[in-house]
Amino acid sequence: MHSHDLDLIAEHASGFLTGAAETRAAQLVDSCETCRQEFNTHREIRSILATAPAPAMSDSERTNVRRSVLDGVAPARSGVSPWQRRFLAVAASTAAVFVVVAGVGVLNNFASDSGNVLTAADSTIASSEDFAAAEREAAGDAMQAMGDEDLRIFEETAEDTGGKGGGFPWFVDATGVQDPEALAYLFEEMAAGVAEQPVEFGVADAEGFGALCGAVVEGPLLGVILSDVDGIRVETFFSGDHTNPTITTYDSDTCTPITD
Amino acid sequence: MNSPDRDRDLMARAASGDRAAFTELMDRHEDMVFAVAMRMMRDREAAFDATQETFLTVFRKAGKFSGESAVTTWLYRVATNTCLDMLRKQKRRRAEPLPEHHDQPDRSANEPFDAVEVRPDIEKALAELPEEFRAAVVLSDIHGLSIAEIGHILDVPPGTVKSRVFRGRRLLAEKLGNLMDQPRRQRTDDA
Repeated sequence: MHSHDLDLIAEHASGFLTGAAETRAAQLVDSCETCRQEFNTHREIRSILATAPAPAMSDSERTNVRRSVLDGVAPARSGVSPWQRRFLAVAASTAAVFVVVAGVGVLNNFASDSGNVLTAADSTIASSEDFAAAEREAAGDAMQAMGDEDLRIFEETAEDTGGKGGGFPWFVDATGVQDPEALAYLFEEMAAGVAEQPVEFGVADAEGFGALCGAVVEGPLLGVILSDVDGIRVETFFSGDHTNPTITTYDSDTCTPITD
Repeated sequence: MNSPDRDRDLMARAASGDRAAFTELMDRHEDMVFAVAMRMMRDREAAFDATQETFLTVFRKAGKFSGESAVTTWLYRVATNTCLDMLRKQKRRRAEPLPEHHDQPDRSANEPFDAVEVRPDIEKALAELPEEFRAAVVLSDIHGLSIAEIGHILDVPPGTVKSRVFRGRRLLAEKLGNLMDQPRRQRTDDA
């Protein structure tokens, strides 16, 4: 009678053991049915897996993957892409562009002296035709200056939403974003053009909506900002009536709210 | 120049923006990356996405490759973590229940495995493993990586790697209908 050290047997079956440990394991395999079963299980599974045919891409699939990757690493675009044009068209069609200046940049500026929760009252809202024109120009400049990866994220999101900003909230995988403020700005502009409401927008990181810090939001969401910037996680939630956004900052690592 | 040295050379050139070098690197390793992705993602389209994302990440982060490990180990690491990230995202965003087969009893679990007449669906069985176990088993038993390499790739200690591999194999054996005629193990003493 003995206690089965199944991990020892598994190590033996894997060829990890030498010397006395190997001898001991071999004796157990020879003398104990349970240990022998364990040994055979590992050996047979290893054998099955080692001989399993490797999944392979067809030539056309390989070509498609390569094209996608190489497009993604292409040098900086010149000119205006189709999505840039569509975005600018949306922005231009908006008679009055409300610009809600909050989001990442303001949060980073104000988090230290405004506590951990800001509301719409903290935002600066402006509206005028002249301002809209200036904003359109600024948006164009922002897109031109934006890095490839950020632009790709924006364009893919725009594509996912049909370019119409539908399907709020947008959950944007912003892994690898280089300039979250610029990206958030473009989303805000596009969303504002569609919703005809002051709309804040931002960048969702890969962790996804509310998952990491367990934030609880009541009511429908209009938009969400989740971004990790320099160790600070920013979450912005919007109620269904497009007002009263709650912006909370957390320490990215500990998920504790930043209060000072 | 041998293969590892060639990989390092290509990686260094890719880090400086050499697309030709990056393309050659991709050419050398895309099958391996796709194989990992396919085993991890359980879905061909998702595997393509993971493969693409892996190489985009490789290009973006080529400059951060320290050279302390082999390029292939680093590629495995990027590919595996890309897949795990994508799987986690899928879970959160879809908030869907697991596929039905996760909840159904494995009818073959107590049946002897007949390699000829009832060929087990190894891919299906692999797909049903918890992700961490699946990653460890795939890297160990399909791709033949060492425990140390897998530990580096998954960023876990060697003991954890072993534990995941062993437990993963045991679960696979059960899902494949048991390789033995008798019920699975009893951790208590033999009579």
